[in-house]
Amino acid sequence: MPDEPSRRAEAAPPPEPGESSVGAPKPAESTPNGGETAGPAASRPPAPNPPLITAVEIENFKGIGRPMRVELRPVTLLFGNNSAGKSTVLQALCYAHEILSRGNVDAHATELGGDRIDLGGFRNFVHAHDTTRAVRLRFELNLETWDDVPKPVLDSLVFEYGNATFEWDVTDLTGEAASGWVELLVEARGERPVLSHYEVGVNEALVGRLREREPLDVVLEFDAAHPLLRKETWSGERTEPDPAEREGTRLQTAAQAGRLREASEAGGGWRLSHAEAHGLARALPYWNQPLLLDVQGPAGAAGDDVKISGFSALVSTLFLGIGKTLGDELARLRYIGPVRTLHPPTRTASPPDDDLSSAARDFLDDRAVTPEPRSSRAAAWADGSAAWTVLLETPFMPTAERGGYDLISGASVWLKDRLDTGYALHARSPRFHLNELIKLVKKVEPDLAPMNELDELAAGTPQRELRLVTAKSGLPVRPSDVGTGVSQILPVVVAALDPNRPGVTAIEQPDLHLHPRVQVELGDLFAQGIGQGGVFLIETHSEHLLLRIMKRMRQTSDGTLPDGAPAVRPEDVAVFFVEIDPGGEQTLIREMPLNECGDLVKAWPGGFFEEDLREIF
Amino acid sequence: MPLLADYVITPDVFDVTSYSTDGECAARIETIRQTMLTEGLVRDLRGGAWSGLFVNAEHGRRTDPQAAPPDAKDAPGARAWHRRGVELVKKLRSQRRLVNWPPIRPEPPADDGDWCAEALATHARQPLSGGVIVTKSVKTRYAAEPVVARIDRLRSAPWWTGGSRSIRLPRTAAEYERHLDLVLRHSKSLMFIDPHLDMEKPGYRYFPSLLQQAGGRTPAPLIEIHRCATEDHDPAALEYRFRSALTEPLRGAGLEARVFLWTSPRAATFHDRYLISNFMGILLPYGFDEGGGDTTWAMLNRNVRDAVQREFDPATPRRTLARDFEIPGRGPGREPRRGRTHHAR
Repeated sequence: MPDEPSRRAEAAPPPEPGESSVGAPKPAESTPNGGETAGPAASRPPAPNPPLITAVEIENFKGIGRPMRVELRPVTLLFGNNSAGKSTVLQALCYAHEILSRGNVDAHATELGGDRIDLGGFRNFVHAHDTTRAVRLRFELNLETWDDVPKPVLDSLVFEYGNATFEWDVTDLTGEAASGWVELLVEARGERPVLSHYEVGVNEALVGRLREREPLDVVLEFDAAHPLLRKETWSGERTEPDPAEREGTRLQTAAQAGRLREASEAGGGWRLSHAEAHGLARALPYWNQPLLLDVQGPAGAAGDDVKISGFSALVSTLFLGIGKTLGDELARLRYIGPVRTLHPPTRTASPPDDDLSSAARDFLDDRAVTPEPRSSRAAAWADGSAAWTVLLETPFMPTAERGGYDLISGASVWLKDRLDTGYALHARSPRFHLNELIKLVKKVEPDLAPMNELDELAAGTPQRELRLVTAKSGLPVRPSDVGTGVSQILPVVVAALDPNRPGVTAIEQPDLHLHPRVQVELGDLFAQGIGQGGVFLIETHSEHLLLRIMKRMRQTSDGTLPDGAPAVRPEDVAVFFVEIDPGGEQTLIREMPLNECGDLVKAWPGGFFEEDLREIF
Repeated sequence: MPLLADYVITPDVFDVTSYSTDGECAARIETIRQTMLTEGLVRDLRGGAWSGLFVNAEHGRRTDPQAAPPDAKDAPGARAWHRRGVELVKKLRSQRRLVNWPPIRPEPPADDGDWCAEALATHARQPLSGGVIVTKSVKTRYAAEPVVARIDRLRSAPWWTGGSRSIRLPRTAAEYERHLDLVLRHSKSLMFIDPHLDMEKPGYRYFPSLLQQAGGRTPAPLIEIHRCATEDHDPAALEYRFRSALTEPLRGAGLEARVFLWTSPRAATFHDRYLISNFMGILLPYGFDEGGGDTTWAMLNRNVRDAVQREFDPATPRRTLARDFEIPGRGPGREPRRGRTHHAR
């Protein structure tokens, strides 16, 4: 911890027009001996949304054979030896995104993983390279805030038959669904892997699944007894609802549900009904089209088309809405890989050289040119470069809409004061300064030529530039010139503090290249995000990171939490121990529960970081 | 003597100057390390002041508990704690094996003999199942106290097991409760593993009272009960029986328990009985039921304890979870999510 935080703050460069201050949020107070001033427990603002994904279950994916379930809490930590399978959990999320957003079941490189993840295709990542196995990914979801999650599918689904138009408002299910799941099953069919089923459940009961029986032959299997299907019956016999029954029930339950052809196969107590799904080449819906179903009711039954359309709308709402919500959540996932770039972009893009005059090119050539961010922002998070881009895109002056929060200042305070890296961030606008200079020149020497070249020079100057500065003297330095730890930790800091943090932020080895004292502070960095609706899914070897979180839990429990320190409760943290099962050469993921005092209640396998004991004795 | 015992270690034990050489100090500390970290609890006297002696040393500082301020570095009169002693205290703390004891005597200890006196005062309040470990000079002052033993003559102390890791005891509830007292009162987690545990059987009727021994503290320990679900025992019926027998006793003690009913496609049951806690693992050949005669309990080494804990984790690939539920809990149990068999593929 810093011993003189206030003096260091004074040593930082003062803010100028067009520059960002490095001041701002006040860290928890520290005493010279490293202690902290005790105070009342920090109040926590109400959570905007609980995390959408509450758990993921993985089967037959890479080292994981039998199903392994990882419950996601605001801070979820994966510990374990090298090559135990910690990264597999993160990679499974990237793979699910490939399936849901790109239909890519035979994934090699992934969009979210950039060049940091190469799954190598189905034959490589199916467990034990055994292509008779099926990869299964199951996501458990919190749907209580259905209203607040990204809008599922469309506002409404419209079917027209004859003179009648039927419109189903997809938001009608608000409040009906407390929880749900989406399950994806990928298996080999001949030489190629296919998504053989896409399954949806709501309120701990199966709604149904799209199943590919053979190429271009997709069938919907559903449980006609599911309360939602029974409540919002597919009968289509519209009746004027009783006002008292209006909420949540638009159509009256009808006996037609019983006309569904019962599946010949019934497993596990479910009697599944079948409906042909038209227009699907795979067991995955098209996210912008309702399902077109052919329910085989009694031949010649009056009004079947209408019934089918109503049923299709309802099932579409469930199947597309929930899957699309999950897909959107995964598409927003930020994955920060185990090695972050040493040469991040530190300024906004300049116009191409061809568009510049020679004078402008000469001017720019004198400046350090750093790589531009990758075309895909998601992939750019994988190597950390997107964090710098996010900072460059951040308005220098906080606005009321952003709650007065300034990401650059926030990240700078963490770098300088909390993590005590010896560096701060300094953002400025070279173009702004050059324009000011040109204005002055024009004023003093109005006849000076060539003025147009000066204007062009200004146009070619980066609008934003971001630098690291030494905390004591404000000396600017390039990211590649400072210790590796700084370049490795900055993306983690930005991802953790970003007010636009997505639902899941997955980070491999945030503690990479960091001194143990800094690793301890990482615990607070992640804990401060608790209650903001997101999940940090972290693969780490850092005992120190966990010790800080355990300490905050203890302080939260006994009311000794220092001012400004984040409150942490058992429901906020999940710790998993990942290992290779000694008997089966497969990954085993076990939860190591913490109690409210921050104690690990079960014995840590092999002893909790007892390497030092073994070395000393 | 119980398999888990509590001890006091006076500060001189970790002071290099108490021994003829640094090497002797290291060797003596080594003799107690294994016992303390696998089958011991250590009383942290005077509200944690005892372990506080070594806190600064953990950070590379040498302190004198009486003369030096808390952050003193190399202060005059600072004691030379051996780093093995400091590391041992650190691990005792991280393993939560330090049991906080409030001050008993009115005056704080002025020397190592006073620390021993404080230890004996706690012993008078609640007898140690282990003893007080001191060096030669302190033992001289308390020569008549059998509970006080020199670290270099521990083998002659009646309470020192010194590697004997099994006990023989009558199969009665009273003996079970006596031998498990410290485990039940101090463990953060308790896994009772017995394939036939059933409170409707006479031998297990005392079992709720055994569980209650773990209650009355905050936070409550994590309690797991593992048993078999064989063809003869319908999981739903077992759940009903467990709820009937345990709900009120657990609620009264402020406890919750999670019950796991296991089956296996290959081996119908498991056989061995264990008690696994965060402090230790015990093999109990007869399990937890009362019966005639004696039984032998043996302590597991840490690797075996870890293996058993792994084997009865819900994530285990070794067997299938037929049902799990919490008591008192919020509702009836259900089929577990993992290992579901209802997929029609």
